[in-house]
Amino acid sequence: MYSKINFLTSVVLSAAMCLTISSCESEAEKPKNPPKDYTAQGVLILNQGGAGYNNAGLSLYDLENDSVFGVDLGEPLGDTAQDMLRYGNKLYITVAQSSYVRVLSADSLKTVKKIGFFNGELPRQPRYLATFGGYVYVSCWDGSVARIDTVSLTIDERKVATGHYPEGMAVCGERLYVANASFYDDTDSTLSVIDLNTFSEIGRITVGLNPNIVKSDDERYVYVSYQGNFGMPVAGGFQRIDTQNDVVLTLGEAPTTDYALSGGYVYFYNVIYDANWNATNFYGRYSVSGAAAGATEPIFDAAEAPVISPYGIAIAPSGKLYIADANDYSNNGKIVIFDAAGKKIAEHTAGVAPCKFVFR
Amino acid sequence: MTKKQQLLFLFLGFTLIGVKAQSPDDTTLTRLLREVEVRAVHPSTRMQTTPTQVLTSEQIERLNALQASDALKQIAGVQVKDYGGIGGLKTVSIRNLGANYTTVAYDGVAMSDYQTGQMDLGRFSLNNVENISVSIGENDELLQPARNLALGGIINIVSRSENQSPDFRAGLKAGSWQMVSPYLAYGTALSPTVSLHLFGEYLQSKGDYPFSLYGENRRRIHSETQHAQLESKLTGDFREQGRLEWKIYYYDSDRNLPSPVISYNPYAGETMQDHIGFSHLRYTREWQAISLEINAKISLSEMNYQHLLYPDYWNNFVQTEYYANATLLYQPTAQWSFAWANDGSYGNGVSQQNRLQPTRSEWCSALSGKYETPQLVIRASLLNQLNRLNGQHALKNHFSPSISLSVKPFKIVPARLRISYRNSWRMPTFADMYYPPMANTGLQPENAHQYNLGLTWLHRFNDWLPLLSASADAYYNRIENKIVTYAGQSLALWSVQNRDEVFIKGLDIHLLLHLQASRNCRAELKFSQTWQQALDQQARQIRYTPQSTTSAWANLIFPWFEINYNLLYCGERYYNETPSSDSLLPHYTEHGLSICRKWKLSKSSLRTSVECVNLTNEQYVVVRSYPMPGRAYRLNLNFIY
Repeated sequence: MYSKINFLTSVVLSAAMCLTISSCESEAEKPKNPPKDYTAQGVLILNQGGAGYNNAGLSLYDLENDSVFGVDLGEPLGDTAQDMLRYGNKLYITVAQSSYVRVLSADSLKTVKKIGFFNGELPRQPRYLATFGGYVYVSCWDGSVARIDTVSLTIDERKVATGHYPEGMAVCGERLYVANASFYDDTDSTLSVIDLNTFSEIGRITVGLNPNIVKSDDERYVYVSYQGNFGMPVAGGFQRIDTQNDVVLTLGEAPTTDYALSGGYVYFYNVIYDANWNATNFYGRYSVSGAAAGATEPIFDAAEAPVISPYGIAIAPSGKLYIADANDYSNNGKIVIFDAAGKKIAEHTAGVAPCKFVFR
Repeated sequence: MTKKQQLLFLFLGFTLIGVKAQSPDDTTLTRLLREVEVRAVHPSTRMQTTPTQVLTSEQIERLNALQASDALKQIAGVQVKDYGGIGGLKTVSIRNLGANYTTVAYDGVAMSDYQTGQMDLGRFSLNNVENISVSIGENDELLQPARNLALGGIINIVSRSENQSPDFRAGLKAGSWQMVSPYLAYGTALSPTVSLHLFGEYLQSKGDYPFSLYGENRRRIHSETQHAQLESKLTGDFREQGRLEWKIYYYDSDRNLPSPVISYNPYAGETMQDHIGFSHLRYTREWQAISLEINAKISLSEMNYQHLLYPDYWNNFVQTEYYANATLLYQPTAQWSFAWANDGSYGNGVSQQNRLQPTRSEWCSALSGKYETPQLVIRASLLNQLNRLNGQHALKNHFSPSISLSVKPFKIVPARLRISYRNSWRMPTFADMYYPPMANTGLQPENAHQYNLGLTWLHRFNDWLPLLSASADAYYNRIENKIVTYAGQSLALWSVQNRDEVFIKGLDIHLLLHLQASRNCRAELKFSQTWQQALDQQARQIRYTPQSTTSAWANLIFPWFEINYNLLYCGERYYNETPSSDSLLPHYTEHGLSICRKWKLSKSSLRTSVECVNLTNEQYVVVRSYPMPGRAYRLNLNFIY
């Protein structure tokens, strides 16, 4: 998640532009050149791209040919793709810096519409997506949640004010839970609760500082990862909200960013730093179905996974585990696939900063 | 202290500080004697043991250049990273070492930036420049501060010093996208020994140039920029008692930053204000075999940044530096010379947003020696740098040796061979060290090695072909402990570490030809070509490194007018380390053309020129997402009394 556009970050990143180098082994080019079938059964991979580089993109993992290729969308996808989901026969992609939502046919991947998100000249920066009852809900960095009518593909004039920087969202029952993240001020630690029948905010629930990704088990519980202020001094963590009484239960110190919920477990990655900021990646899961979190168990040995910067995680309907590796966030990343037993079964180069999966 | 008070302090309070800062050298001061000579400002490029190129004010005038960065694009081995437009950042890297290895000196004393270690070359006006020299490695001048030897190369901008009195110059440039820039320079002798020189320039530009990028045809918006530059120089020439110069420089800019172009979203909202000032006192004196130079400088700068979309998101950064230097040159014979230079500096940077106030203190000491005959020049130096960051981290100490020679193997062949090795050491900047969310205070300095082997050939054939100069230099650079920025679990969580090595190979070729058809008709032709390769540890080409770059100019000078043409070509390169069509930046060629006419009036002259920059309206980027301006016109008026 590209959450903080820090000027100094960009100054230093540009200063180090010719230096940023990863330690990834270069993968031998595969000689085979399979056909690029955009309708192939497989996995759509959203590549976030680098902020200011206008290199967001979509890749397709063609399962039959076991190959990953970039999808030519005709017009470029834009700058900093943030979220992607499928609703009906359409695919919705938020492109945050370009400030629009791209609607594609989920089958042919042809562009159906580009829906600009602007208040006059000011970009609203659409971030995350959720769906309910014929609408696609979009959290926007103008401090609101908007919704797109999926029949007319237009933005509803009505919007609901949230915190300044709403991020991840999930629907539980007839309510939408929206993470109100902090951008640079370390102040927000709430979820906005929006009644989807009236499309209005009905309350806020206090969770950990700087909440990030929200998911729901669709029945009773809403889960939220939060980043804190990256341990300086507030660490991030993971919580579960019981929507029947709004009681918040802290389940663990991880995940703090993306995660996957499947079969009563949370699957996650975590990056642990030593005193010299050398990173060790950890991939684990624990049960979240009981009254308290179960013990954390590794899902595979990080030493077996040649992942540099885990940036997305998903469980396929087949039960396979997908990890997106953002590499150094400026050169091409990759996806690594594991079976349920934690054995690596495939690895493919994707675009720049792959982050989201849609299984088709 | 408010900002105004600080500036007042800078302008008025200098004399006292200058004297205080010199106190370590008082003993040398008391032994001052005999005669003084103003040292040559044009380094002889042919005899140099390391590649040195000089652009004189006349050449700069003919380059269709507005900013110092435009002129530097013509120098072989120099890469200008240009973010486009007048207000866009322009940094200079020498032979791919990175902008942090370039010392930018104004009148011989290095300017410093603790925060980023880089200098925006866009901010230096060309109207008050006598010459700009670029030395790859160090130049052969021994009488210079130790700090000038510290990095991989030095760009020295020498400001004008008038020799007639009174001296009055005024000029106006006006051009595309509402660019207007007047300047005024005045010099006068206040007494037989003391003279004063004043310079002021103002520039404003809307900068809303059209561009085509990512399949869209748009205009740059939010690119308005304005700046003012004021300089004063008070010179006291006390003959055998020495020469004293007191220079005050102030630069102020207010600009809307040309942010990266974002597809489908034209909004841009970054603004920046800079206030930069220094006061520089230089004293030089010569005895028979001994020369002395003393410099004292106090610099103050403030940068404000704001993003209009995020009203609470801003930064304010104030840097202060106190600097003093003394260099002693001893020339016992015509062949031998030795110099000992000592520089001390102390400074801090106050970042409001990060609530940090790191400091840096540095002591540089250099011993240099040179042996020089018409056939052979050998130069060697040893530089010691002592650095302490923030008072709390361990003192860092490093010795950087360098050795170079230039030899003329055959008496009758006007060719010289030059060989050099040089080690340089760059300290992490405040931004490397303190601003990352995961601050790594154990960060080590980078260590760079530069090797150069070159051949120069210079011949004056006859009256028709008064000069043919050619040089070819092959080089190899290696950077150890490369400071690299790493993104963490989130891009907001990044760290800076010593992780990489960089290997740079290249060849620079330079040709200069003067033709003289008659007394009033002549031509100057120049051609430079660079081939280079810069690889990281995994043998991937470092981003933004073109394999081939070319620059050329042709100046045709007739009795009634001049025609000046210049060309820049940059080959294909990638904006990251993946050589794929997705990350390819296509090659580009930029042409500039100007016609100039000089009018002689009784005691004065007027130079008028019409320039066309980017004649073919080439649409290109130097840095991904930062389009460069297309075709632009400028009218220049330059009045000299």
